[in-house]
Amino acid sequence: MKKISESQYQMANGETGKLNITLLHTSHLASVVHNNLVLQPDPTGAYVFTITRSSGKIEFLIVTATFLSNDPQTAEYQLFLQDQSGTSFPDRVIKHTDPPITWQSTIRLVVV
Amino acid sequence: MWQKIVISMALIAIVLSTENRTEAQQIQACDAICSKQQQVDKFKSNDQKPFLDADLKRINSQRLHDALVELHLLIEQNLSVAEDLLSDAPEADKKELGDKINALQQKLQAVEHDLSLPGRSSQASSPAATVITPSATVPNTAGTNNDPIPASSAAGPLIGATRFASCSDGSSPANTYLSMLARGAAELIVSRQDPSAANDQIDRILFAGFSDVAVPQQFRGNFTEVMQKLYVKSETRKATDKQIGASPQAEGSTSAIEKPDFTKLLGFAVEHGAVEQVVNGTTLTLSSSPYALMTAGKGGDTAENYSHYNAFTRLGASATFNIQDQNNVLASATRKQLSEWSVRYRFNPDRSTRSKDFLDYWNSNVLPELNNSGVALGNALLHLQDENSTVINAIDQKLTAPDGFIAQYYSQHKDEPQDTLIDGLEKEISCRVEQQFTENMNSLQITDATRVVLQQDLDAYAKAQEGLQTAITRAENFSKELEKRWQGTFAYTQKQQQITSNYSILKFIFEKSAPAPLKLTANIEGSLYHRPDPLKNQETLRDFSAALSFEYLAGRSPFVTNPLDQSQVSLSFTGSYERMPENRGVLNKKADIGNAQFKFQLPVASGIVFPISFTFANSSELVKKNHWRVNFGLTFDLDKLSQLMSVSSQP
Repeated sequence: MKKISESQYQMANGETGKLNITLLHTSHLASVVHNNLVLQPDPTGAYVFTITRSSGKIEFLIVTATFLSNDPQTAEYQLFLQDQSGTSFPDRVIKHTDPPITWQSTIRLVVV
Repeated sequence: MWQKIVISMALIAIVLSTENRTEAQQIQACDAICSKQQQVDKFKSNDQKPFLDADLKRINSQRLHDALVELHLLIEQNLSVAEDLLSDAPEADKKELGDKINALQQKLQAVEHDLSLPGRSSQASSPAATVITPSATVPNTAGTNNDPIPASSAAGPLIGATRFASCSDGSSPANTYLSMLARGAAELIVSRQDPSAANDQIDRILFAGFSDVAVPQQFRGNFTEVMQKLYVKSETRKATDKQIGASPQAEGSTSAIEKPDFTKLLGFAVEHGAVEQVVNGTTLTLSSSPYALMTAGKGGDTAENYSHYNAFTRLGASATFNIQDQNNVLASATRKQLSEWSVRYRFNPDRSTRSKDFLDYWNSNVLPELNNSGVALGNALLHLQDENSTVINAIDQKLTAPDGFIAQYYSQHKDEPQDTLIDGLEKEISCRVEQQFTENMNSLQITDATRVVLQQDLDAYAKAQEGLQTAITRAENFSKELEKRWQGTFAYTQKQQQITSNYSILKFIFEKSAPAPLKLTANIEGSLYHRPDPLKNQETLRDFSAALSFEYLAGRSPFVTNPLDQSQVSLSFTGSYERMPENRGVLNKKADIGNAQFKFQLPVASGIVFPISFTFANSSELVKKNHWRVNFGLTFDLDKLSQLMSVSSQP
């Protein structure tokens, strides 16, 4: 995995990655979808996905977070992508104070 | 004679019925193409009216464009059927079908001219024939004229970068899904001071832009409405159930009753007056929870820590000090000045949105809807990539590259006032997306099949978002239901007395929501002397008392400027009764003491509340004398203050 720019990564066909989400001041889980498949967290809480498309194509990780009235303004979801070697790439932080329309985040995975 | 009359009437009836049938046929023929053509003619006619104001002209142009798109579709569908029928039509029908095809082709050319499209025949080699201009509200040349160009009068295809030299100076249609997303992205970029902060939003923005290009506005109307409803900003906790000040027995207390909840991080209250004491005093109360200590060096108040150390959130502690130096209240926080200390245990389960009850509800009811929304968006993005990846990815790159449109605009305007910068960025993003789709129109694959899939994707996404909205509303209601359930706390307070003997108070505190907006709080307590002094008529049992309070939430405080803070102004009425056996038969003292208190709490800033209370008592504990007291103070809830500080420290 290689980070090309914010929320955009290069990955190879067949390569596996993980999305880790740290919750700060909130408890309810975000939703993680890879292309059109819902991912469930593994025992460590990470969302594991495998690139299936061929070179030149693009796949998507879609993270949908939501905050409630009772969540403090400091609540946030910190997104980290992790490659097979364990290298971690900090990605977007979705904050309660962000415009709600941006609480749905799209990460591009460019297949090389 | 009668024969002539009957024959004449029959002839008239035949003529009339023939006319009616012809008219009916004409109406039927006009049902689709003809009536749409009439609609187009009406909008074109409006477009020529010189007196039309700019807004009406813009709306009319949009309607004209949409009507032309729909007319184009209708003609194409009819043409396709006619051409299909022609291939194996009997000779008798061939001429009629041929005439029909010619007429339809002429109409199609006229519509394509109005839409400024390359002709159908010129695209014979390209199967992606049906391309449509995005909107009639495209900015004019070099930003010198912001009037929209009506589609019908656009001189040729809207292609060429020079038309968009000052993209963001032009007007963009407001309240479209594209403009909403562009606004969100602009706010994100400005709040983070980073032009790449909204890169994760660009795919959704391109989906919206492509939808604007390919799907007529009337089919997008419901979608935009759903999206607008969904993103109404959330609000913060309204609850007023925390005890931050001193207990009623303290010299400076403003409360005749105690609340069941307590601060998890740090509470701070300075109060002046007295409720049950005879002498007015000024006190400082500090309160916290072991949870704050347990999590201090471990990342603070995170969800993980909250789950791990949840048991500690049931415990609270506070200490109240008599203030000597009112210019430096914290200097009074010494053991010598200690007036009382207290520990509390909350025995009801967690009622917050961090509770297990709520998380179970969330995972069963809301998470599936969040997943639906993600899947619907994922499908839409994959379909866009399957059909138009080259154009979509090129536009993405032009927008998000380090020297792309967004970074360039941000770099050139970052010193402008924040609101101006957000407005400008929103327009720049919307406009550049429209511009890029328009410039690349001929490279886009917008077949009927593409349009159908896109329409389905929009419908699926709108339905998923609507389902999500409903689920979130229900979750909010469930959260409110949780808050309305009873709360109960046991408090142990030790009073340090300077004149009389030290004693301990054992208190049960209950709270339950009455029909909104009322709340009912009850306290039952008994206190015990550590070393009763028989000379002062003291026994081990010092007193017992009960208090009942009704609280009314009067609405959001006008002094709280943070729009997300919903701190409530509250009014409460409390009655209490205290029985002090040691006062029985003692001159100038009363064993049965009653208090009635009216209290007003006004949040003056986030986390800071000004309480003032008016109390009537038939006696104090030490002197038998009716009296009125006015007590006031300031309380600070660091749970809220820390949130405020965190928000204000964000870049």
